[in-house]
Parts: sequence; structure tokens; C-alpha cells
Amino acid sequence: MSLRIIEGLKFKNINTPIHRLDPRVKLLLSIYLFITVITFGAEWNGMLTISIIVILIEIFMLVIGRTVISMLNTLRGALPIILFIGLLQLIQFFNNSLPVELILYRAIGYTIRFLAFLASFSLFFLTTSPDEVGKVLTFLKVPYNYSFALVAAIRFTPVIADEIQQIVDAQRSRGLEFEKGNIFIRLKNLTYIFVPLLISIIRRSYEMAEALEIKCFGASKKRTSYKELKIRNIEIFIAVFASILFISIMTAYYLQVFKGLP
Amino acid sequence: MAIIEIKDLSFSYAGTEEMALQNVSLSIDEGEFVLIAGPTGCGKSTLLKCINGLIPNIYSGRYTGSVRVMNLNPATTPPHIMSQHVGMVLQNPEVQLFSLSVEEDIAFALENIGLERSEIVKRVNKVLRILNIEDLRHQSPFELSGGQKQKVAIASVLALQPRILLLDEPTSFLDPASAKSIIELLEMLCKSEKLTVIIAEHRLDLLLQHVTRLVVMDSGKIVNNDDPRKVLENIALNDPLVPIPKIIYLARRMREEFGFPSSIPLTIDEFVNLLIG
Amino acid sequence: MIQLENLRYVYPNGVEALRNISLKIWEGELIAIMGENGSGKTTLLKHLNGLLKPTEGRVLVDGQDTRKVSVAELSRKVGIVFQTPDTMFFTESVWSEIYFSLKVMGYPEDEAASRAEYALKFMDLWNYKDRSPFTLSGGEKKRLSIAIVLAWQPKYIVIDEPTVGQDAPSRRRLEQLIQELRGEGITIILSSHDVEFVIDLRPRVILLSKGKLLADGAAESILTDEDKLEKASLLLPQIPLLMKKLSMIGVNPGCITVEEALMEIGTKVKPPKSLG
Repeated sequence: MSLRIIEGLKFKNINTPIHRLDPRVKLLLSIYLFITVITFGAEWNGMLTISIIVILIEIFMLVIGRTVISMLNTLRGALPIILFIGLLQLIQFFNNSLPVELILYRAIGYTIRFLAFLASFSLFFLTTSPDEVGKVLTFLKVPYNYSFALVAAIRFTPVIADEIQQIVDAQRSRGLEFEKGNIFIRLKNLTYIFVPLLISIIRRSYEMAEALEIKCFGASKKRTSYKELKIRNIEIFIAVFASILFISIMTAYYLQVFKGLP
Repeated sequence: MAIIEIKDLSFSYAGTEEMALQNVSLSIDEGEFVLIAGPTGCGKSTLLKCINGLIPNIYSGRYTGSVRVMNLNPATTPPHIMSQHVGMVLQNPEVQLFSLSVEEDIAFALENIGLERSEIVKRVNKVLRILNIEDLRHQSPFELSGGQKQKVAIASVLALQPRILLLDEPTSFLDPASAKSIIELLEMLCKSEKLTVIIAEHRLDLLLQHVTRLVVMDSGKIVNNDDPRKVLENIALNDPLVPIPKIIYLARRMREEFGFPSSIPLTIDEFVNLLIG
Repeated sequence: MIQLENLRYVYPNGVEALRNISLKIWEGELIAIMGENGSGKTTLLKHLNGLLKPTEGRVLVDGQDTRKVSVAELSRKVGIVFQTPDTMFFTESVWSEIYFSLKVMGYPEDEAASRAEYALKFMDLWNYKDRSPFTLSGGEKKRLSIAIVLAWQPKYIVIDEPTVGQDAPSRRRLEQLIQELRGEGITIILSSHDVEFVIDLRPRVILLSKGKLLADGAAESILTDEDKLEKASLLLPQIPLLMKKLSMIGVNPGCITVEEALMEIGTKVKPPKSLG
């Protein structure tokens, strides 16, 4: 099964300057990149230029964060969509009323814009541990129950993936072949995986509920924290710098500075 | 005075007819290391859950009789208060670890009860030291072996500083070397930390030499409750409930055939001493 | 015959689970593959029906290379029973679990029905045939998972860790059933770290440690060899350990069963003087 897109969102526990950055700052940067890419969506209003600049910033961060390969895996998984976007524009070649350079511009432009868009959040998830994600959510005043559910889901994803593999192995050993048959047979075959999986998940949930009770989950409304997020001076500096840059670019956009730029 | 006092406890899970526990009475003193043995379905797990209050707080049903644990009544005490007196370790290590590093997992329960950060740090360090797992501090639970996971599960529960530790078949999924390691750890905790340990298990051979009491259950009833040596002296050799370890079986057969050894050895070294002196 | 020739297996994440394993399994044998968790036992078993294909080397089942045949095909000859039976149940009754498997394997209705009956009766589950598989006890689930495989009567039955999580009555039952299956001429391959269970069966023992084959021989010689067992992170079974400690007074350290030890001690050991 092609779970490659998920690969690109999985946190890798390595020690790089990007990983060490306070997750709130990383989230802020990701949001800035994301909004920038979304805003510059009109043709001949800086779409391609800004998208390329954003991609370059993202590549720079990926390299420092040593997560280039993971990103490439995501891209491989998203390849169908990327090609689709590009081809959609290139088909216009058959439309003789449009100039070639416009078609090429659109094909490259939209594709790169999509890549920049993908990378903006991928960067966050690749370099931020699920626990840190949970802490950011708590910082944003999301109730603990929800952030815990998210972190637990991330924590148990490999366990579920293992379980699926075990089920597939067991069913294949009974003669079930998942690669064969038309779409209806294949869908039916999937139930042979989902029913045991569902039952297993339900059973696990009961065991987890017991374990959570044993560990006093929900005991106190005022939950304390063993590891707190601490922001360093350099991170404040980065946040301020990025904010100034972001506001400048947005202002410039609204002042039509980019008009006419590719 | 007994730290756990159970009188005439009967329980059947909601929606079922059969009695999971029938008129169970049991008294356990502080510092004991108790083994509850019996086939699957005999009520071992149910009994443990009645001691820490999961029954009837989480699992409802028909509950009669009384349970007193350290002057608390588990039936009426909120689970999070009980958990600070009675810790429990479950069979499957995988579902007991929630965080992404061992130290955060140990801190988890302490964060939940709202302890001050300095106290959390102190307790995490203490527990890592006592269980000798300081080297696992920053590791992710997913990367640990089964035995290591169970040690972390024990650590995360001990951080709450309970006086009693319950374990429900903790070595089921472990290989013999890991199982032995966990059992020796429990003995150490019982002796040096003065913990009262109650373990429900099938595998007797590794435990008999360490426990102070053997309780045998069948179909919800307690059928034997005594010093392990006494139980093993008198039990039928082919008792379906208790898998008599081979050396004990051998010792009893020797007594039948040759008249010696005079007492039942619980360890191999004891056996050798009895024979050679 | 099953042949493993220079089998090497590396998982996609880079872990080398099996290194250069070569061995032959003859029909009718009872084999126990032993080692600690993580030694490669389960990985090796998965090669026997093609679930895993060798990174290097090859596996031949009755002359067929497992890389050239589908898992479904191979499963007809080599039935694997996995450790957790819960990973395969999905029907509403014990009967339909087996019946379904047989239909998938291509048996016509009446033959599937008679085979299902045979397997359930052999495994003592006939009275449970209408019960939901999810309401069975651990031991009963184990027996059902074996029954499912038995129904299509493979030549080789592979059981991964038969005694994990099983209570004493279930273990005794399993020991009996394994002997009975042998009596039917089926080749049985077990993987286990339960030395006490294995030693009672007296199989051929193959010791694995960290993916390497450490030893291959009779249970009597391997399960009494402390050094070898230590390398595989296994403990000496109780009786051999006792005999070893008594060997200084002339007792034969090769005794395996309680009865053997009883006779040996009876003849060699004198009662201590304290006995009148």
C-alpha cells in the first residue's frame, strides 16, 4: 500500500537547528509561508516569483533540518496530483487561442505553487515531535483532552500499522489474495482486514481506558507540565524578523507592487 | 493490621449471568509478595480490579461484600485517589505507555494530578534510579523491548508512590530472560522499598521462590490460600489448576518413592542442599 | 522437504533479521525453533509460506522456490498458525471461520463441510461451532486458529509461539494435540522460547540468536547445554539444571524428564543421615 505521503509528515527524531526551534515559532513561520503562497494566487501578480522564493526558503530549511529525503518521499506520494495540476494546464496547448508562454507559465506556476503549499506545513510536522505539537495546542488554549487525543493518535499509528500487517499476514496465510480480482472483490477482501482491525482497536481502547484511569487521567483541572516550552532570544528575534518580512510583503501586495511580475 | 481486607466479595459483570467472584475473602499484610494463580477465567484479573477500584467504578455489575484497602473503600473512592495508593500494571505493555519518551511517560501520571514541577522532576529521577533504567530516559517507548516496556510501565505507576502494586499477568508476552528480570525487580521493590506486591500469573516456576503467599483461584472462588510451600506439599500432583513446577513434582515423587527430601524445595539450589547437605 | 539455502533477510528499515541460515526440514519431523524475542524466529517462519521472500539465498518447499509461487499456493502445503489468533477472526461463528477458509482455498461445499467437521472435532471445538469466535477463551481461540489450518490438511503445520499467554490446562492440551497431529503424519514446526514445554516434546531443536543459527540437534543435547542456551538468552530447563548441579555426586546430567531424574537420583543418591 502506498503510505508514502504519510512518510513525509512523520516526525524524525534528529538534532538539527530546525528541530531545536521552539515549535510555536515554527508554526508561526509555517503559517506565514502558507498564507503568502495562498495570497499570491493571481497570475502576473508575483505568483511564480513569490512561490519560487518561498520554495527556496523551504528548501533551505529542509536542508538544515536534514529532512530533504522525507520531503521527497511525500512528493513521490503526491506525484499524481502534481502531474495532474501540470498536465491540466499543458492540455491547453490544444487551445490555439492561448499563447505558449502563458500555458507554460501557468503549468510551472501552479505546480510550484502547489509544492510550496505542501512544503509549508510538511516542514512543521517533519521537525516537530508529536509531544511538542501537543504543547503548542495547549499553548493555544486547546483543551488538554483534544491535544492528548492527537498526540496519542500519532503515538499509536505505528502500533496500528503493525497490527494491520499482522492481520494481512494471517489472512494471506489462509489463502486470501489481496492483489487479485476486480474492484468489488478487492473491496470485499478489505473487510477481512477491517473487521479484525476494528475489533482489535476496540479491545485496545478498553485497555487504554484502564491504563489512563490507573494514571489518574483527568484527575486535576490544573494539569502541570514536566517539560515546558521555553523560548530563547534567538527565536524571538526570528519570530520578529519573520513577522516584519511577512507584513512588508503583504503590504507590498496590497499596494500592487507586484503587479506585472510573473 | 492487614493492608488489604476483602470480605465475602461477590461480583458479576453487567449483562452476564455467571459470578466472576463468589464470596471471596482475603486478608493481606503490608510487605507481602502474593501470587494469585489459576486458569484463565478464574477471576484473578477481576479480583485485582476490585482492589484498585476499577471495579465497580469503570466496570459495573452486581457487587456485594466489602473491600478495604489502606482504610479506603475502592467502591466509593474516586479512581485517581485509589491510584495514588494502589498502582496497577497490565498485561500488554503496549497500551500503557502514552508519551514519546520514557521520562515523559513516567511524568504523565504526575502531571495529571497536578504536582508541582520540581516534585515531578524529583520523582522521575528517583524512579529511574530505583529501577535502574536511567539509560532509557530519552528513548521512545516504541523502540523498547517487551521487558523494557514493562519496566517503564512499572516505573510510571511507581511515580505515584503507591504502597501496593498490582500486576495482571505482566510477563505473558515476555521471553523467560525478561520475565525473570521483572520478577527479580519486583522482589527488590518488595524488600527494599517495602512495597506490597500482588501478582496474578500463570507461570509459577519463576515466582514460587520469591512469594510469601500463594492464592489459588478457580471459577471465582479461592480454593487455596497459604504459604507456597504448604500449598505445594498438599496439592494433588495432577491438580488441573496449579501447574506444579517440575522440580517440585520431582521432590514429591521422591518423597513417595524413597522417603526423602523431608521438605519441599522451592528452588533448585534448595533441592541440591537437601540432597547433598 | 523444506530447504533453506543461505537465507539472508533484511527488513525494509535496514534491520538484518536473518544471516546465512541453511537447514533442511524433512517430512514427519517435529522441530522447535528457539531463541529470545527478536532472534529471528518469526521472520524465519514467514519465509516458509512465502510471506517474506529472501533478500539473498532461497527457500525451497518440496522443490518449489518460494519466490516463484504465490503465498496462497504455498499455504496449501505450509499452514502457519500465528501467535495472536485475534488477527484473523471476522465471521459470526466458529463453524463459518473454518468453512470460509476452505471455500477460499477452493474446496466444493460438501467437502468443505466435512473437512470443517473433521478439524473442529479433532480440536475439541465441535460443541462450540455456533459460538462467535470472539467469545472464546484464549486457549479455545488458539485451538480454533490451529483448526482453521488443519482443515485443509497441509503437509507442514507451523505454529508461532504456541504457549504464549496460555494457562496450564491449555498448555497440556496443546502438548497432546501436537503429538496427535504428528500421529497423523503432519510435519510440525514450532517456534518457542518456552524451554519447559519444548523439552517435553523432544523435538529437533534449532537455536537462533540475533539472526544466526547457533545449534541444530536433538532436544536432549541442546536443551541441556547451558553455554549454547545462554548465547540464545534462554534458561536451562529445570530438570537438566538440577541434574547439572547434582552431577558432582555422579548423577547423569543428561536426564530430561521427571521420571528419568527420579530413577537416576534413586539409584545414585543416598538419603541424608538425618533420616532414621
